[in-house]
Amino acid sequence: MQDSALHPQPREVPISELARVPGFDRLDKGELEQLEALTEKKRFAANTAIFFQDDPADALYILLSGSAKMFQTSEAGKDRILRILQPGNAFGDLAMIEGKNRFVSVQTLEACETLRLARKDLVAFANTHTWVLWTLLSTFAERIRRMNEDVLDLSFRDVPYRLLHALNDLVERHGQQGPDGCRISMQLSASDLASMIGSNTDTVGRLLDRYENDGLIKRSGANWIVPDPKSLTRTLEYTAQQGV
Amino acid sequence: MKARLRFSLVSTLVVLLPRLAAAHERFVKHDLKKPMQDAFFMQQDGKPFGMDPNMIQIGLLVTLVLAAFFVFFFLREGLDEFLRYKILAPLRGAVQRFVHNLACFIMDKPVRNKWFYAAGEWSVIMFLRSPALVLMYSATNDSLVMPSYPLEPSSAVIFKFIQVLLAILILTQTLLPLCGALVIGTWLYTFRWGPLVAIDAIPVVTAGILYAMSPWQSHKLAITRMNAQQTRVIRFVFGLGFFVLGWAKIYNHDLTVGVADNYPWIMNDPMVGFFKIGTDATFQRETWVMSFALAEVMSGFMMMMGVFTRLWGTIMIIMFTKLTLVDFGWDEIPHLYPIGAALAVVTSNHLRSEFGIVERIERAWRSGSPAMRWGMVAVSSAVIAFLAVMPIMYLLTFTDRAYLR
Repeated sequence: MQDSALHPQPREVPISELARVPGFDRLDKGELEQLEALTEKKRFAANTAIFFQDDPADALYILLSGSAKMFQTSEAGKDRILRILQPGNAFGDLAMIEGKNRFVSVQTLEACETLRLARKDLVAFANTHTWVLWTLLSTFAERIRRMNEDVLDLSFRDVPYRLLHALNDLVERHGQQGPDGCRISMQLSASDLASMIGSNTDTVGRLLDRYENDGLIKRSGANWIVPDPKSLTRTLEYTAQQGV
Repeated sequence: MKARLRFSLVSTLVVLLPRLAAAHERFVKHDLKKPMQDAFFMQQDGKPFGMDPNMIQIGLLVTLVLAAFFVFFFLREGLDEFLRYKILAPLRGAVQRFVHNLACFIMDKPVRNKWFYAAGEWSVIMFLRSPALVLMYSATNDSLVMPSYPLEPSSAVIFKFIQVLLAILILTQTLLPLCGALVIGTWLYTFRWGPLVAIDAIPVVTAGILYAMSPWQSHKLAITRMNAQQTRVIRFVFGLGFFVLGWAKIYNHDLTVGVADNYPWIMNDPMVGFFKIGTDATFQRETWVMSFALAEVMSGFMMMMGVFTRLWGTIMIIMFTKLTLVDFGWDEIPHLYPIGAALAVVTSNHLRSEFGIVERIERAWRSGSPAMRWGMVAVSSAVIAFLAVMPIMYLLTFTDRAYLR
């Protein structure tokens, strides 16, 4: 494969919403139009499944607006949130490439708009634009790295550290600065946070109360506000030193 | 457990088996109120393929229904897509998830729900132990396994104690492989009285298989789930039991209609009534036997092949529960066996069909012409359904039933 295919240069300023997706911003106007013609725009109301675990994986999705949770459900019906998706994230790609059934579910947290790209169309497009595959590979690599970190956390870290780590991560990814501090833009219950870090709701609820008393976090309706993100980071670092 | 001890135990129990099975005598009330028209079931000159046209009509209708179920099954991923994008799309949250789980249940996909999981665990626990309850019940009623098989008074005490011992082993999950060997061995020995007796007892083998596939240290384990292999074998044997039993009902039609003569309300079955539609009224009882038996053949075949397993399993659970609680009463309490087996299979998340090759071709051809794909599915379904019903029905018209009298 030629080097230019591995490291394509950004071309014209894109006009399509697809251009907001990491990797696709390298497409020129013509290619973007070509790709966009293959996609289908779909809207989902809040609290709606985009797809369920075990469904046939026939397409990948790109989140254009809103947020969604990606989670796995065990046979016993327990959910574990793997990732919070935000605009620009592509999802459903791994199972689609594997050609097997979905191994995660994705459910919207708020009203979402997505682009759906069918497997056969992506395969045809990738045949002429091989770097798309490298973009997907780099996404997979990032995901594997995050999974390794999760496995490490679950193996060696206790629940307080995992919760602080999750909150810190949410502030970095979904934080919106306001007069009261940094507001986590999505609505997450104690149960959601528990399923994100592989713990139970009671333990996480108690820890959230403690952190609220300590002034690390604040409830604002169904959202969380972190008055001083730096303080949260320092607490995380301190907990990390204690825990290992 | 040491090999020598294991060998001694198995040998002792196997030696006892002939005497155990010798007590077997069936006396289900099945006396005919009036004789059947035997010629209906036999080769007849001047008829197409030598078969009665009513028989062919019922056979072809069952083939058609069976083929339709296969078509739906092979195209279920397309139906799933319709469900996801059309039915589920306007729903939200818990309601959407409930409808999704319901669809997964019908389409034999994994159902990821804590209540379903708990039901599955409870079903396996019941399935593992239900034979013990039946054995205890039989022992207290001087019968062998089923109340309809009474023990000879001369040897009754020995066999009552053996049944209780086996029941204790099952209830305490002790030496389950040995229990399995005993159950399967007893079943094999029933061939001594002819295949009809053995066919009647096939559902019992499902429990024997689960025991035989358990580890020797079974008493130390909490066995609450079946793995994919166990599920597959139990489903197959369970379905095979009904498939063969259906054909046996046609072969031994006097017994079948004799039971109906004594319990006439069992003739009022909507599916059986549907298969009988348009047949000659002068063959009222004969066509009922055909329809009743072929309904069992159809459901057994689908269970055996893993096609809409949960749907047919649920129908069987309802049917057996009705037979036990409403139609026949306590005498049919051994139906706990098939109820337990069906529950364990229905609540398993390891269901698959035996026609993976058709499903793979259907999937591979999805990007091509829909007409080709649907044609392949239609032809495959028709061929499978036809082969499952018509050849055996034809062969049965050549059999001699004189010795059954």
